[in-house]
Amino acid sequence: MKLDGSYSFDAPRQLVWDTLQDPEALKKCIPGVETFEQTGPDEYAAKMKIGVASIKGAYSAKIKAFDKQEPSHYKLGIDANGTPGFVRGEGTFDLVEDGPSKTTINWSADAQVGGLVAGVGQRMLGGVAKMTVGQLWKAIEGQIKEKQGAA
Amino acid sequence: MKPAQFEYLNPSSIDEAVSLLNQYADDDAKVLAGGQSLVPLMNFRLARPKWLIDINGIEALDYIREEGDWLAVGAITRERAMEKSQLVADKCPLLKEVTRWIGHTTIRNRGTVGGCIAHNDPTAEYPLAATLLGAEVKAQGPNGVRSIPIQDFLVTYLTTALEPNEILTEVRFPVMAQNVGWAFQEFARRHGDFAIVEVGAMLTMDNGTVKDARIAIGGAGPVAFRATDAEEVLKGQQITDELLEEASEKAGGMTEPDSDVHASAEYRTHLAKVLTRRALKEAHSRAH
Amino acid sequence: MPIKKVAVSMTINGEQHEGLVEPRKLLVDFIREEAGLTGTHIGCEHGVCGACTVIMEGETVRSCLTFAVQAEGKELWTVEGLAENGNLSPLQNAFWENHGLQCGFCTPGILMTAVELLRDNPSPTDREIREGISGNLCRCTGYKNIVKSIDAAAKKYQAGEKEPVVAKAWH
Repeated sequence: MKLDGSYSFDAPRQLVWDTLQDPEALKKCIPGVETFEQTGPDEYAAKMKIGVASIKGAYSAKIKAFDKQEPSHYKLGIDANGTPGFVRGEGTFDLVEDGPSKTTINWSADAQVGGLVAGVGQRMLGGVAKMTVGQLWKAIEGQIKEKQGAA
Repeated sequence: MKPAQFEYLNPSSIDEAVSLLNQYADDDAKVLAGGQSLVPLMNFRLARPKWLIDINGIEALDYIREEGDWLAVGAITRERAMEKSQLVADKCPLLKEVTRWIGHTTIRNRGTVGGCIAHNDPTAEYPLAATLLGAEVKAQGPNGVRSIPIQDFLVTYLTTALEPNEILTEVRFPVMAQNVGWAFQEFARRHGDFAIVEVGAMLTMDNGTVKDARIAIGGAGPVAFRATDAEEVLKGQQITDELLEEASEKAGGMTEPDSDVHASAEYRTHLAKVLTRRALKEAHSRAH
Repeated sequence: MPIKKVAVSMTINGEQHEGLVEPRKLLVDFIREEAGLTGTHIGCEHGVCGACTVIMEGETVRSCLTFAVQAEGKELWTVEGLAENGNLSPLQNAFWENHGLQCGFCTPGILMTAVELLRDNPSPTDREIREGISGNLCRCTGYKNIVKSIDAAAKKYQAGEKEPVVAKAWH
C-alpha cells in the first residue's frame, strides 16, 4: 500500500521538527495510543488501538527513526503486530519552510499490510489509513500550538 | 472463524434498549439490528463487542408510514419489506429500485433500513438514496430524541453522528413529487456485490428546462455525497448531450476515490462520470 | 471472561430442539451440532456463499449470520425437512432429474433459496431465476443445470405437484 500527502503547520520549521522528535508530544498524538515509550536512541515501542467505528484492533508497534537530516528530512520504520493483522512499512517525511512561521510536511509511506484486516478490510484500507494519518497531523498541530503557547 | 465471547441483551422496548446501551456504552456495547453487516465483522473478529443489544424484538421500530410529506420508516424495517411495500412504490419509487440492488433476497430478509444507515458503508445503497432524497434520521438517547439531517448524520467510513449511547430509531424520506424524473445506476461485478460505484439522480423539469437537479454518488469517496458542482451546471438549462457530458465531468471532479483490489481510483472516477451521465439521461426520460 | 450459557429451544422441521449455548454460538452451528442436522453447510461464515441458508419464520436467512439465541422459540426448516415420508419433494426430484448438483455442497442452500424464490414467483424467467440464486455460490456446476432444475420444479408445481415444506413453513 502506497500513500502520500502533505499537511501545513502555522509554525517555524525547527519547532515542527522538534515536536515530531519529542516522545512526550508523540505519545499524545498517536491515534488510540495506550502506551508509548522510548526504548533507545530514535527507537520507540507503542501499544495502540487503531480502527474505525466498531472495528478497532490492538497493535504492538516498534518504531525507529533514521536517515535524520535536521530539520528537513527523516524516515520512520514501523513494525506493528496485532490481532487483526500486521503493518510493516516505511514513511518518508520532508519538511519545507514556506515562511518564517509556516511549514509544510510532505510525506509518503510504503506499507505492507497483512492478515485479516488486509483481506477483509481491503475495500477501505487506503481511505481509513489516510484518515488515521490525518488525525495524527491534527494532533501534532495541537501539540505544536501548545508549545507555541508555552514559549 | 467464530465470534469472540459477548453478553447478549434482548430488550423489548425502545426505552429499555436506550437504557441498556447507555449503561454499557463505555464497555464496548453494540446494537444488533439485521446483523448482515455486523455479524460478518464479528465472525472475523474485526469487531468484538462485549455487550450485544439485539433490537430485533422491538416491534415498535418496525413500520413504514406516510406522515405528511414524509415516508417514515422504523429502524428495524426489513429491506425486503421496503422492496415489497406498495406505499414505498407509490411515495418513493427510487427507494424500491435501490433496494433491489442490496445483496440478495436472503440478506434483505434480515437487513434493516436503520442498521444499513447506521453502519454507513461507503458503497451501501440506502445511505446513497438517503443523501439523494434529503432524508432525516431520528436518534434516541438517554436525553431524548433528536432529528439529524442526513448530510450531518453520515460522517465518513462506517462513522455517523450517533453518540455511543444513542440508537437510530427512524429514517424519514421526503415523499417524491409526482413529476420528478429519477434514476439509479450501480456498477458491481456481480449482482448483489458491494457497489464499486453507484449514482442516483433526480430531475424536476419546467417547460423543457431543469428546475431542480439532485445527483448523489457512492463508492467514490469515504461517504456518499451530493455532486453539487454537477447540479449547478444543470440548473435552468435544457438537457443536451453536451450538457450531460459537462455535468458528468463536474461530478467526476468531486470524487475522492480509493484504489483497492476491486477498482483503481481512476476507474472509480471514470465510473462516476459514466453512471452520472446515464442516470441523468434516465431521470430525464422519466421526468414530466 | 466467564460467559453464562443460555438455554435455547427452537423447532426445526417440526421437531423441538434444545441446547445450552454461549450467546456467540451461531445458528448454523446449533443446527449442525446441537440438533445434529448436518445438511446445512458452512462455506464462508460471512454471508456471501449461501451454503448456510435455512428458512426461519417463513423467510430464508443466513444461519451463519444469526445467533442461536436469536432463534429462541422460532420455527425453522432446513434441507432435511424437504422430503416427506422418505420421498423426495418435487424440487428435489427436479434437481435429480436435471443433474442440478455435483458435489452437493451448495445444494442445501440452493434448495432452500429456490423454495422461497418459487413461492414468491411461481413462473420465473431465466433471468429472474439467475438473479434469485445470485446469493448462492456453486463451484462445480456452472449454474446452468441449477437454473434448469429450478425451472423444471416451477413446471412441476404448475402441473399441480405440491412442495410439502411450503404448507408447513407458511401457515
